[in-house]
Amino acid sequence: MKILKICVGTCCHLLGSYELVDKLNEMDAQRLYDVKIELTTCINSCQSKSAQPPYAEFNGKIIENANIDKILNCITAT
Amino acid sequence: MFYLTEITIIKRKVLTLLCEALLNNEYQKIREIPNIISPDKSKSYSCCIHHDRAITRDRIKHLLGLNLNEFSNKSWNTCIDTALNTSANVEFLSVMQNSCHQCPQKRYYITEACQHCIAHPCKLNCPKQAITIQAQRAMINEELCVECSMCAKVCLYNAIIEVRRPCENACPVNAIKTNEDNIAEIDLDKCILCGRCLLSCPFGAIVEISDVKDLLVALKNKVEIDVMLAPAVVGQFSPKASLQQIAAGLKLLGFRNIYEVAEGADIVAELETQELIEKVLKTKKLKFLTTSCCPSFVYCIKKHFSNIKENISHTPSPMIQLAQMLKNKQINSSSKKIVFIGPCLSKKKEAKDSGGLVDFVLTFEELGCLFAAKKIDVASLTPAELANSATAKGRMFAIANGVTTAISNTIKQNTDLNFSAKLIDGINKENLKILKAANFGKYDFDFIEGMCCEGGCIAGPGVIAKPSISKKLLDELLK
Repeated sequence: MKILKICVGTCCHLLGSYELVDKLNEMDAQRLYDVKIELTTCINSCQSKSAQPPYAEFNGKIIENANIDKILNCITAT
Repeated sequence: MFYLTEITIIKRKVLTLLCEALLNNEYQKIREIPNIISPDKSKSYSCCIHHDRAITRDRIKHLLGLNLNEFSNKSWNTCIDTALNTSANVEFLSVMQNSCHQCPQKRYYITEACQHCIAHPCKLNCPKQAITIQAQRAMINEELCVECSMCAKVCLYNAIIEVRRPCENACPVNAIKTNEDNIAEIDLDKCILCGRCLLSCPFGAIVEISDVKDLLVALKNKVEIDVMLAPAVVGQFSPKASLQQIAAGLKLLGFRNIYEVAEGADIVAELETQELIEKVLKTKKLKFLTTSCCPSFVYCIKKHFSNIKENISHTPSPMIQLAQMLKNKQINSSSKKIVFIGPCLSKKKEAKDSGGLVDFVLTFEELGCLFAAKKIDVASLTPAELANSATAKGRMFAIANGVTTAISNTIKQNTDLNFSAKLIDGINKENLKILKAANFGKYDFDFIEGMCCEGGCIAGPGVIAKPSISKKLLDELLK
């Protein structure tokens, strides 16, 4: 089971990270069959000046400016 | 319905950057925000980045309280300098003229789905003979069309569609007009500050007044500010953050005592129950009573159904009730200020009209941007104590039907009286009919609970969290 962490810290939540969780939960289970979605508090990626929230993390890889496409691409690539 | 748009994201990013600059005294940075939002051509979201940046500049000017009509021709630097040294001079809701897309007015379009059929029901059923058949397609003569919608109803291919301005369509009280330049205009005599035009405009042209600048100046000057949190606050800044963690975040921002408005709501439930018993159930002095906690609902009755304005409860709203209690107990003396933080736009007006009881109002969205600007992750904080506590009765006010439940529980505890309640769950066409009938004296209830937003305050225009999530978290808290 691989773990997809979606940050729902204040900064990411403000920019709609929970919408990602919602959409992923509604999606076709086949693409996400061995992926467990976890909600996490701030993963400290947003602290830098050039940060691009919302953030997600898959298999230790940080996804910035996360959207459904980026997350699915990352899952397919690993 | 709650959904996220690109406009919401841009709006929040701009406000976060502005808060960051104001918090750190880096006024120079305000100048840079339009370039940060629209860095290059590839990220343009309108015709070109210059237009994007001009819109962002207008947005910032408005957030800083500058009247856009007065400051449209002033240089960007002058605008920022003036804004930092003057108080706000904007309406509660206004249209940014340069951003308004001048969308088509309500009218009927014949789309490509038109099959150029032999039956021509559109042409035959048009009462004004406005439809002609030309070059493989039915056409509407705009000058003859009276927008009766007959053609759209009879087309067998559903090829005729009605296009309306999103702002006009969203407004429940017909307060959106069009000026001679075809730009949307808000009729403030009709507007009830529900905020739906603001949420629906696909170009983000409608903007609200903001207390953020004044509040940050006050915090910087070490003014002691107490916070009153509306009951809909649960889950707004992260589904993982508790009420006590939100309080901890507010303390980090420099606020003093954190109160739950739900305590005010607890008392409002008692007072409103007494009022209902005295005025309606026992004496029949009034035919029915309506709630007074939702200011948009109150404005709706006062502006559009004036025959029943006496039926609005004289009990203050929970916000005013709690503010009065804090002033009376002298917990909050005149040198100290109060900020109300809620999901609501019309509370901004209610606070302004409160005669200094409530000094500032922020929406959850504005507070979220402040947290983000200060890099505070609420859900990671150590919980802090709130200065008061409330019961489930008051906390329920955030969800539609909550006030009715609170009042009926109070009545059952103390008396054996019965009453019939009507829930106005969202000011919409259907519910306006009920109010219209009541305005003409037709009613079959003793009590109206009026909620402007469908679902209650958790679905207000200033929320961050999805209402279904807030409801789930709030339900857990109510257990």
